[in-house]
Amino acid sequence: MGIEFFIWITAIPLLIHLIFVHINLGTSVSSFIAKYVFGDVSLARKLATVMVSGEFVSGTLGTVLTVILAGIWTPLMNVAANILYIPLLIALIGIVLRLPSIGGYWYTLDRGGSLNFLFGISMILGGFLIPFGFRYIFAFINYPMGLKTLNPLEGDIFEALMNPLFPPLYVLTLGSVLMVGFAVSIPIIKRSGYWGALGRSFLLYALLATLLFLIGNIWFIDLLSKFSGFLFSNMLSPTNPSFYTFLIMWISMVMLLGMIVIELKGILRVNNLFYFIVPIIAMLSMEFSYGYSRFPYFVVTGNSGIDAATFLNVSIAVGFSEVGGVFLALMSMVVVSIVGVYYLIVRKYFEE
Amino acid sequence: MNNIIENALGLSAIGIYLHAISIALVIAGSSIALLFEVLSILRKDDSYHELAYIIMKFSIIAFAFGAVSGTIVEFGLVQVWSGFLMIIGTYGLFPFYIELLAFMIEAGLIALLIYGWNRFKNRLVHIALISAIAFGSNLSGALIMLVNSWMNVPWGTGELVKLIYPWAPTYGPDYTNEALLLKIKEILISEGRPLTEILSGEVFNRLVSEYGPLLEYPWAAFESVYAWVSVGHQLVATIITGGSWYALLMTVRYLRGEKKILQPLQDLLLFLAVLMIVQGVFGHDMGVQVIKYQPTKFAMMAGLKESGPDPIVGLTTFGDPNYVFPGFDYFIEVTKNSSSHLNSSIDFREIALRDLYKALEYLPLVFSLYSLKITLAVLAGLVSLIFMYTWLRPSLWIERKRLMSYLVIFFSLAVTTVSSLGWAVRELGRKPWTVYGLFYPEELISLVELNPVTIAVIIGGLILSLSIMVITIYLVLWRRSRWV
Repeated sequence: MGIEFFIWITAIPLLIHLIFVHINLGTSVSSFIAKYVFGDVSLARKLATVMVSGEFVSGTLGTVLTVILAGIWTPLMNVAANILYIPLLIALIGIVLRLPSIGGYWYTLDRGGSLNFLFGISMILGGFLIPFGFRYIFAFINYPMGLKTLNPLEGDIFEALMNPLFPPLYVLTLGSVLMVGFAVSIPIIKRSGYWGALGRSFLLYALLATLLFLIGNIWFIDLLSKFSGFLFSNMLSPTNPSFYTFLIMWISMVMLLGMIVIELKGILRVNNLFYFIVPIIAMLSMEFSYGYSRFPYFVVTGNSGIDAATFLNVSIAVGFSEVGGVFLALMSMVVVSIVGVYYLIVRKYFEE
Repeated sequence: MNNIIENALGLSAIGIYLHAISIALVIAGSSIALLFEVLSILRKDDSYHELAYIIMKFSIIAFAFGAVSGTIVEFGLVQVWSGFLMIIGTYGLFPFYIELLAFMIEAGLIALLIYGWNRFKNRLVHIALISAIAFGSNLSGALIMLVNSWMNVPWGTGELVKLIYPWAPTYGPDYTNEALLLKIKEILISEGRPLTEILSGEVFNRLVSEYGPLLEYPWAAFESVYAWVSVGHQLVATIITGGSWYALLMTVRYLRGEKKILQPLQDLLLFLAVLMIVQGVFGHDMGVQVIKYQPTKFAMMAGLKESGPDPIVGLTTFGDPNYVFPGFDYFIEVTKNSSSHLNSSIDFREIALRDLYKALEYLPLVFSLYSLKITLAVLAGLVSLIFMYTWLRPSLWIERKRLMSYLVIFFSLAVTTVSSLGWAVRELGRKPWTVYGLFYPEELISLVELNPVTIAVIIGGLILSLSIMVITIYLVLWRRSRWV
């Protein structure tokens, strides 16, 4: 079985997971702003509904990914569990804070009081701690700082925290989460009949987040050229598919900026669908570009790398039909979940 | 090192127990909701349908928080026992992979059920949806039990364990690459390092290219009879335990004046009583499997430091109360008299003897826990007979309201304790190994030493999520919030 197959069965759930993670993290900030900046509890509830539904799908896909990583990319998970011990613990703290706080925030939303504020802060803080932990894995596979030897496994868990690629990657993540979150909130605000100062403010937030995304990208690419030459040159090579997705990212980013400016200036009203599609395309093409350009390596070490096959679980004799069959069934259930969530949001809470 | 292992084992035990609370509410909840939904049709009584909805809400809240505690346990497992990844990557791969499917069935259909509860008018649609959710939750539990069972009885390793421990049985067909596993074992013993050090990349890959894949048949864990008996035993225990909590809540409602809840409560108690009988059968089968495949565990449970009879087990299993079961004296003697067939520089006979003495240290504890478990199970069984009787004579609930309530409280406490003790016996009984006869805990521990921060995050997180689950259930269901 080709290594590409295993890469794709990891990449597909990862990309779907990322879409919903961006939506739920971003809308949690929007909901908090709607309540505490604009004092609009009803809008805050609607945005929180989108957040909870997004969390539901991203949470289940997160579990899918953990099993895929542990079962198929076992050696990689083993490296991460040991060398990136602290970041994973930070992500775990984030999960511990985030999920119960969502319940608390939801329940106390229309009851006011400082408890809701505290739940909201803990929900947002916890939410952003999760990528704080997991982005270290991405920084590590672009530049494996802290790893001394793979053979036998040795590393420095504190040195791993000093990865120079982490800060821009995290800024980039903050930018993309807020960009998607604010942009997705705009159609919800419009459909709910709110506009005026509130709508314009969210447009402005989306604009600032997109600029943060842009700055993060530039900073990250600059550091990639210094620390991860292979990835950098692949991304800029027209023979590599990631070059084109990289281009798509820039086009969609500019398009989003244009849409926001046009709407802010009152030139024309942009179709709601674009606010869903364009930022998600920008985010997905960014993830795809930075991920795919490391192929055929999994861990890039400057101008070379460690082959993806090194991290593939080879201890088991397994057939394509077995892994592929279960994967297809899994993805079918993912579709059912997404459809269920769509009906929950759109039909149950917005049309009634 | 010993302290670290002890702490890590303790941490895992606490984690699993806390996570088990939400699992019991989910698995029992969907099964009981299904029962009530069917009864609502058979009895043409809408109150069963309403009750099924309330129980499904409990189940859904518990599912959400179970996902939180499950994530914490999952991460804890990978971070604290990173050598366990080898088990996930081999014998556990397909059970875990299909478990995801079960998890997705639950998650996807729960969303559909919330959406459709008041929209789907046909009760058969409700039954179909709840059945699928109950199937998903039970399947999810079953597949995790398959992996745990493999750790108790490493099915598919053929005579490998017997080569090291001459008293051990054969564990099914030989699907395992014996030479590779022995090589790994040799490295671990001779270098005294955890598995995780050699699992990353080149060393392991080189071993695989030299000896071939470790596992030829990835479905090995599914073929174990021990595993399927464990699944049945555990799922029934989970439904009885979780069901008893629902019965307790319904009893409180009844005592507070909700008269219409009495009939569903009695039906539920009858259902649990029937399951107690079924559990008797599973318990017997489980015992037979333990005798067959985990001789040292059975010796611990029966207190057999010396070989001897166990009249009840002897009679029920072999039809002979004087049947002599092998004790630790027998295992030690067989080991001493054996000659190793292994071509290795390591003295495996010495290791086998050392392990037996280590296992012997657990005997008093396991024996006491098991005896207490059986005593409480018998008492709970007797109480369940009273529940059967009261179903036939419902007036007893009106005449002896307080007494019946105390019986429900006792039953619930007893079955919860029995389940907890059963799990403790299962886990402690396989010591000193984590994978029976193959791997010790110190071989599966992570490179990073367990520290107070990790302990605080895992335990704190579990307690936090559990507390919020209880508060949410209280606020949402007891006080009937309008938002759920």
